Amino acid sequence: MTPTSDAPPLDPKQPPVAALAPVSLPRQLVVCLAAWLVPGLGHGLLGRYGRAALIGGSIYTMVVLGLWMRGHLYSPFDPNELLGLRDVLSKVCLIGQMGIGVLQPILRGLGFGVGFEFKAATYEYGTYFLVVAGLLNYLVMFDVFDIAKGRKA
Amino acid sequence: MTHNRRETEAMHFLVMTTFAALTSTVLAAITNEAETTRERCLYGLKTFGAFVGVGLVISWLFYFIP
Repeated sequence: MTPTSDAPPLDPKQPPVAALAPVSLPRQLVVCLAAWLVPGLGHGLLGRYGRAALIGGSIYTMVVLGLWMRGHLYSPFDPNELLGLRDVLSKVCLIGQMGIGVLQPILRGLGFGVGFEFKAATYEYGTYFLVVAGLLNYLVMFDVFDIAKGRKA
Repeated sequence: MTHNRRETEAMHFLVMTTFAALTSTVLAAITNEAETTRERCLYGLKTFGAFVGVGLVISWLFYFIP
């Protein structure tokens, strides 16, 4: 019989079945939402505190460095930036940066990363640090979903 | 403030290695290819090396493009 993806692993290197216990559907949704809103929180809610600290520390460090290098934070509430067809690449950056979660609109509201400082030598670096921080958090959300579904320890 | 060419190159390299270190840390934390902490550390080091190595190779290729 072909084993399904939910079958317990036969490989001795794989974690025990108890470590792969899935959580309920509402809790899966809650931890995925938490992982998006606050990087690292999803792993923390699932008891993976070490990974939560590493992920949260790395993503927040990238955000701080991105702002320090005068990167630009795109606004998720500006209809021109969100819906206009003029600058498609900025939409890609906005979608990436939205992965940072609740911190992105808060920082933007506080006035961080609002200006376009093209003349700064590190402007591009800073902006893409912010974009990649968000994109990494999307990957982290998938990891949290896998753990919550019981597919991964 | 102006920087000479060596200072600029060092700054670019520092930013690249910082980016590689932070990104590979997250990738090592969420990878499916490693189970133990040792395997995760090795995966992170390999990813970091790949980021820096590929970055250097691409920068040398761009050097010859006018």
